[in-house]
Amino acid sequence: MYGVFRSPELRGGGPWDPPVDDDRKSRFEAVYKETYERILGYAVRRCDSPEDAADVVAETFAIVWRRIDALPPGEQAPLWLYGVARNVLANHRRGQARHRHGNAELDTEIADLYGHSPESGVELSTIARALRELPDDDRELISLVAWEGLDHGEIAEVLGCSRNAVRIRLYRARKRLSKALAGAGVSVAGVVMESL
Amino acid sequence: MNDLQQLARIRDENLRGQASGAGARTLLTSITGEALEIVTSDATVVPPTRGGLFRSRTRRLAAGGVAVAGLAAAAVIGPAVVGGTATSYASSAIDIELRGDQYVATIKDPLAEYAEYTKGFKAVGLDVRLQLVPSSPSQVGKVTGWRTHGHPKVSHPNQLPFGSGSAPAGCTLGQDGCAMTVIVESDFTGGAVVKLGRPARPGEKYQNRGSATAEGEMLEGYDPAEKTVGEVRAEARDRGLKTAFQVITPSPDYTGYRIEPERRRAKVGDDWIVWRAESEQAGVLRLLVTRERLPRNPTAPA
Repeated sequence: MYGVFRSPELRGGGPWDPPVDDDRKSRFEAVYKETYERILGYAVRRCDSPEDAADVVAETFAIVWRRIDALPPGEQAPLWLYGVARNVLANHRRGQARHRHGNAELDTEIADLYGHSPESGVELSTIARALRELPDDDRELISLVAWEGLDHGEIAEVLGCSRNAVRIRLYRARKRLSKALAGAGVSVAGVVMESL
Repeated sequence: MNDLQQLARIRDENLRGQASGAGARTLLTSITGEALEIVTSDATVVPPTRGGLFRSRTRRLAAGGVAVAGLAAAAVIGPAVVGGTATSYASSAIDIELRGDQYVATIKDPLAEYAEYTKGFKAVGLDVRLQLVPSSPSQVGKVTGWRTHGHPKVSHPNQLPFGSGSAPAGCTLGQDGCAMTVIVESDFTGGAVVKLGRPARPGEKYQNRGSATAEGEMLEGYDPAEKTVGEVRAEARDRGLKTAFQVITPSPDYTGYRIEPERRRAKVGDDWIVWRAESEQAGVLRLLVTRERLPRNPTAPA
């Protein structure tokens, strides 16, 4: 059915062979199904608007599809996807990638998720503010632990650094968060960070 | 659950089943449908952040600037409280008033931060996020797009929950003292993002993708579809207009098309075919073109 696309002129490039192979497609579909909810959660937790989250999800998977040959096997695959999503999100925040996918259903589905408000309360909002005000890298590290539930080794995969670097950076990030919380009058002991 | 976990907007375990939703499935299909382009042509591999999958994003420009004087209007709204819920709101950006079974929001500053409008709607109990986007003349004061979420319910299922108008009623937008209004059914529940066209500032690109041939637009009265780029260029020149190009890629059955932002600067010849003309900004047309003549206009409704 895609025969009509075989028009090098339209693409400005050379011939398009070889055609897509089914293995590649089924591999993508499998990883899509396996990781969609995790990537969706990652985006929704970090984007202020459902539109941005939808864009991040759509763009992340579009990139994964283009680079499906680079997708690592097994347990590493979701971590690799988090890494892609992280880059997409960073580009969005820098204003470098303002695309809109044209999928109204996806927008609606994701917008619905924004109806669930996170827990509120004076102390939690203070913690939220402290987290928001941390440097981006610190916040991302802490979020990957607290929200995605990743361990040091997994974060190292996502960020493309060593496990030891993660350990050190996380230690510093946690310290800065504690300091910010103490400054805001929240007892650090009261903020459970045992998983960090 | 620790305190930091509680800050998460949503947790993965609450997302079970999302992958089988209609939106997720459509996304999957739209991505793998891109196959030929994406994986087989090294020369045209799209950089990761500029995918051909996406239409260029409509988004407001940086906030700032002064209100368009001709549209600034003062609406006097009396305070009214029914059942403990405020029914009116007034600020320098927006006034909102309940009239019958509709809220009428009068835009006092079309260039205000979106949050200022949101604040107003929130005050009267509506989750409406109004975005004023620079639009071509025929779309100024019109709702150029809207999206709802959270299972909205309105009592008039056959009617749109949103409308637009002008205040004072019936005035001509663009004239002094005539302001844009947005109308929201008072029983609208759920949330919505509503885009309303506002006049563009000098040199500002339009964010609506309106046809340039509509009444009041630059190519009114001229049909560019299926003409050559040379022909349409000549018409544009006669009208004192500039042209920009957007190379489009038709879907296999020619009932749709994709645009690829990075191909805007492609070398377009006078013998290429124009399928649609859109208003890009004041004095500039955007022609949607292909190199070859197609069996069907992919920009026309199927």
